[in-house]
Amino acid sequence: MPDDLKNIICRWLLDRADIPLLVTDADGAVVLSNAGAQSLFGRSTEQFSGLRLETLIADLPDGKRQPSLASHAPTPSYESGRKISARRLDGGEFLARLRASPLEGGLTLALFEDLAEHERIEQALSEQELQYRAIIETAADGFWIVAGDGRILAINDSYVRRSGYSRDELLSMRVSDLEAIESPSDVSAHIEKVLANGSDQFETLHRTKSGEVWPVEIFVSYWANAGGRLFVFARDITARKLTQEALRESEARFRAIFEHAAVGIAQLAPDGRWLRMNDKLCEIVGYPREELQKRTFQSITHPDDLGADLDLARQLLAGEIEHYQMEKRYLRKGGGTVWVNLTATAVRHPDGSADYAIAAVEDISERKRAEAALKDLQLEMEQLTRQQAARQTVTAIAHELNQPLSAVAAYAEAALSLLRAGNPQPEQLRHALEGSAQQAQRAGSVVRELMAFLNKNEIATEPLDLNDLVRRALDQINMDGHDGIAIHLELANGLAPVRANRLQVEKVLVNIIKNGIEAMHDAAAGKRSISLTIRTSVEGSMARAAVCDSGAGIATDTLHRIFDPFFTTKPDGLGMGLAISRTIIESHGGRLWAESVQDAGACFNFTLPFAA
Amino acid sequence: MSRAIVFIVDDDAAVRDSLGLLCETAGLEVERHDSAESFLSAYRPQQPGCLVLDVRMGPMSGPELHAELSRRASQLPIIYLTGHGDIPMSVRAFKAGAEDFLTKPVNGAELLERVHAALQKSREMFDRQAKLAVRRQRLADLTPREREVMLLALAGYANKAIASKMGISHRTVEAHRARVLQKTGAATMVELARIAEDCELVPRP
Repeated sequence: MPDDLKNIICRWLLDRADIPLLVTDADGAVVLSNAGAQSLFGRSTEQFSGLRLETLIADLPDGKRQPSLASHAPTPSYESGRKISARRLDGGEFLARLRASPLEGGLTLALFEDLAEHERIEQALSEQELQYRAIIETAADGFWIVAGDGRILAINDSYVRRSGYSRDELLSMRVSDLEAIESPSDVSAHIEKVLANGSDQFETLHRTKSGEVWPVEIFVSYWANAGGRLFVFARDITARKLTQEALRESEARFRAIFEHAAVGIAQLAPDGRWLRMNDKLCEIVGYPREELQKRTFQSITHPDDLGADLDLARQLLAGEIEHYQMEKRYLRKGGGTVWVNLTATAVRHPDGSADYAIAAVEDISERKRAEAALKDLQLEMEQLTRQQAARQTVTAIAHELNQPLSAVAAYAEAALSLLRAGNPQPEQLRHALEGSAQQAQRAGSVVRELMAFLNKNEIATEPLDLNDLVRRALDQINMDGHDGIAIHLELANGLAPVRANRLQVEKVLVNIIKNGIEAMHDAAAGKRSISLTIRTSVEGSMARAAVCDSGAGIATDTLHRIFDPFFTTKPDGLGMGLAISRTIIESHGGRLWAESVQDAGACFNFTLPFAA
Repeated sequence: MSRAIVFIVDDDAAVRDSLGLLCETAGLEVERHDSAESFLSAYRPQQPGCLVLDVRMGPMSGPELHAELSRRASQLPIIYLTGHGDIPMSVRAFKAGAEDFLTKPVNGAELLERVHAALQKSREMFDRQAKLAVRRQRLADLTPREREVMLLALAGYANKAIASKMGISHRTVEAHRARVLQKTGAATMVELARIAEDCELVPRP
């Protein structure tokens, strides 16, 4: 090959080389520079030509600058390289590594390595490492770097804190020193396995310096190309283990409750199939578990209760209600029904749809039987009460009729007796017959009153003077022998006629006047003046009559009951008087009420509509 | 002795009047009361008669009046009148010593029959009471000596034994015995013994 061609090729190769290079002659002057050097130092080939190497080095001690590099070492040799501060043509300085090696013929090859770039890479690398370290130290999990023989090479603060050892102590330990379950040979075998498989994840126990054993979950990986190290994360799972334990206990407890509960408990599918149930439930419905699990609640529910149950179950499954409770009957195996109190709730999927239903079933047959017995008893009591009421009513009617009938009979027999004796006293005979006739009329009017009362919608009314009715009632009372009582009349003048039935209103007046008289008999005699005031007045469109006594009054708690049928305070009273009186007045379109001031007497008032 | 009286106590004027008339036409003497209180205020313990009493009255009922009379040791026979056959009340009334119990409306003949019987009973009772009172008085008139002789004689002692017991002469005993028979109006010792018994002077055999 001609030398020219060799030169061209050599030149081309030099310029393509990544490494900036210069060649100096024996005097230290630059004879050759490549493109890399030109670019690094900012000089052209010509600007390098003849330049002495020292000119390019900024930090060369001044004494070393003259004489030239060559003077003390014609062929400077920095095989291993020397860090220098190099100077560019524009005066800028930069760090470089200079390696110089002698060539043939006094020539020296100087290779430059731009350290600025290198520094930048170094810097970047250490930043990344710092970030990794920060991550490792920030991690809540423990972190180890472990050698293949089990020595701990690095460890983070988190593990240091949890273990109770110092970092230095840990860095002198092996994995087996911290392991609480695996023996040292187990640990070695485990490490071999990880080296073979590349990674593993397992739970074990570690022991702290104080001897406390704590559960850890280990994540380990082996990076062959990272120095044959094992990278280990050790996660403290104490809390998780406690939670698991609590969960297990709670489940055991629930199971005990489920199995031994005094109520039947069952889990049902949304379609009503019995899934799981305790013994008590089987006992209540009478089916063995296996048979019940082939059925639905619908199939063993009493037909009369099924509609309501299905309706509630539908609402429950639809999420319209959280739970429901009902009393219902199940059809027991082999016939018969059992009354239960059912409480059902739904357990839902996260989307709200029902996963399954839980039913608590309480046997209430005994209570139902007691309730039925009580109801029977109540019916019997009501029957008795009705009978008693009927008896009292009949007794009252009998009394009302027997009085005049007794008189009629006695008058008639007296008359007979007189006639048999030849009518020696005509006056007496006349009296007896008149009395007999009168009392027969009285008996008749009792019957009419009764009929009027029974057909109270058909009472015949006529315009009547209320004051006149009061006087007639008093006449009737006087005839019955209630004398010796001062009765004050305060009757309104020119009172318009009321529309009423004479007999009935008279009956009411007699009744309440007699009540007043009796009330005053009861109030200790002589303690107060015995007087009865009867007042009539106009009250709006109604006429009002008031009968006020000076008796003991009526206790407040008694006041609202005195109009109840059969309510009485008299030892042998019937308690019908006021009830009938009120019915009569109300059927006239009026109102009957009592007012009382304790120890100051009572007033019975009634109103009747005016006839006009 | 005064005539027996029929006391009619009823709060119903017509009943009172008609029953009274019925009794009067039968020749009986009648006293009418409209209430138990009225009867009690006019009550004379020495008056024989009978009570025709309405059960249902106010304020004091028939049985209440009955109880009050028993408390006063009255022996007046009581005929109850009731408007309705109240069995428990009848039983109570009979237990309390009612003479009779008639249901209204009463049969006149029956009532008069019962009234007559009751009056008869009352009269006999009063007669017996009167006789007894006379005898008691007579026994009370004996001197202590006469009484002592009588009791010993009734106890079965012979005159001689009585004389020696009392330290008096046989003759004196005989004189006391004669005076006892004379004062008590007894004809024989047997009669005297019965009088003493009736007056509860000696225990009944």
